[in-house]
Amino acid sequence: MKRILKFLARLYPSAWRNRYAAEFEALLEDRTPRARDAFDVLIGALTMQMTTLSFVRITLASCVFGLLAALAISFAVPPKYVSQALILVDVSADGAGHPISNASQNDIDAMLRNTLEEVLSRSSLVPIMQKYNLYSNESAAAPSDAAIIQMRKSISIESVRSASSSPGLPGFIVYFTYPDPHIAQQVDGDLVSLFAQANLRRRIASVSGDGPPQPGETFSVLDAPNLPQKPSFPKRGLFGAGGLLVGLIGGVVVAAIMGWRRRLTAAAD
Amino acid sequence: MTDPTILVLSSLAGGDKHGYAMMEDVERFAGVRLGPGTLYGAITRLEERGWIAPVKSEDRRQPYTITGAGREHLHEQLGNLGRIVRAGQRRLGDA
Repeated sequence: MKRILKFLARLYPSAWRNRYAAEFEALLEDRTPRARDAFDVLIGALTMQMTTLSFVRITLASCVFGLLAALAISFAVPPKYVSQALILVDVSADGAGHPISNASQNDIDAMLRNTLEEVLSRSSLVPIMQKYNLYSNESAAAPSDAAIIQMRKSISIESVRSASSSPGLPGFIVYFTYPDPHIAQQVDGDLVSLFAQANLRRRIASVSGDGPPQPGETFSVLDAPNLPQKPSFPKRGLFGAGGLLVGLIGGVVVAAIMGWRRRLTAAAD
Repeated sequence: MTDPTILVLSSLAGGDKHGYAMMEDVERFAGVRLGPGTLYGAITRLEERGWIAPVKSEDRRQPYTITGAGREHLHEQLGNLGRIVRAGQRRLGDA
């Protein structure tokens, strides 16, 4: 314990140590050490450091602390990988395969919404969740409602539209986010298949007259689901910058408060 | 009542002492066990304000003495504490 106390005594500022180190160590040798003495010496050293540091040094120390803390948190939080696949929607043929004029964007948006609802249904997602054991609770036979909600939140769709007003090939990107990059890629592949199957069912229903008339889109996968190389979260650079900023603000506030207290103490003396 | 600077000044008012002797003395008369960090935090502040001063010594154990300004400050602080103590006792007695 005495060794620990002597080590902690080295945390005092050098100016303080030059003046008091010898007598302080003599005191530590005389006294029967207790565990709480270590805490007392540590707090004493930190307090002394804070009262002797200048405004700039307090701010700098706080910045470094903020940066290191943010980086430590970024390594502690589970990463998230996003796999994405690009699906093109070909609107050049109707349900029977005959050429048609370009379907309106509203038609395509409505079709995408309907397809997405089908893909996000419990009956579509549960087999995928069971296949890859996603968000699983080992004791549960079927995924819980919370797990399904979590799965839905991990899936997102982004429309891709032609930049010009001329007929183009609109499409959409299917994203899936998961802590494991390989599973993210595989699940995204299954989601793409679900979209294709849902579209095929709608077209068959449209041709057979069972469903509402459809513009006759066909889906084609332009970019297959990729294997994400880097996590999309946490972005360590952003975390570090955030930690630095918080440390800077915190340091300025602490230094200002300490300067104000020092002036009050000096005035009282 | 457990302000370490007042406890150290009160201890030194009874005679010059080094750190360990101050701790023993404070524990005896106030029942407070000062930690090493707390004690030297108080000693540092008191010396900076000129209320105590080191006494020449060949030993590593540095003794301190209370200065005139330190006695004045201690008088003032104990007077304030005394007023609080008397008011508290009076009110307890009235209750």
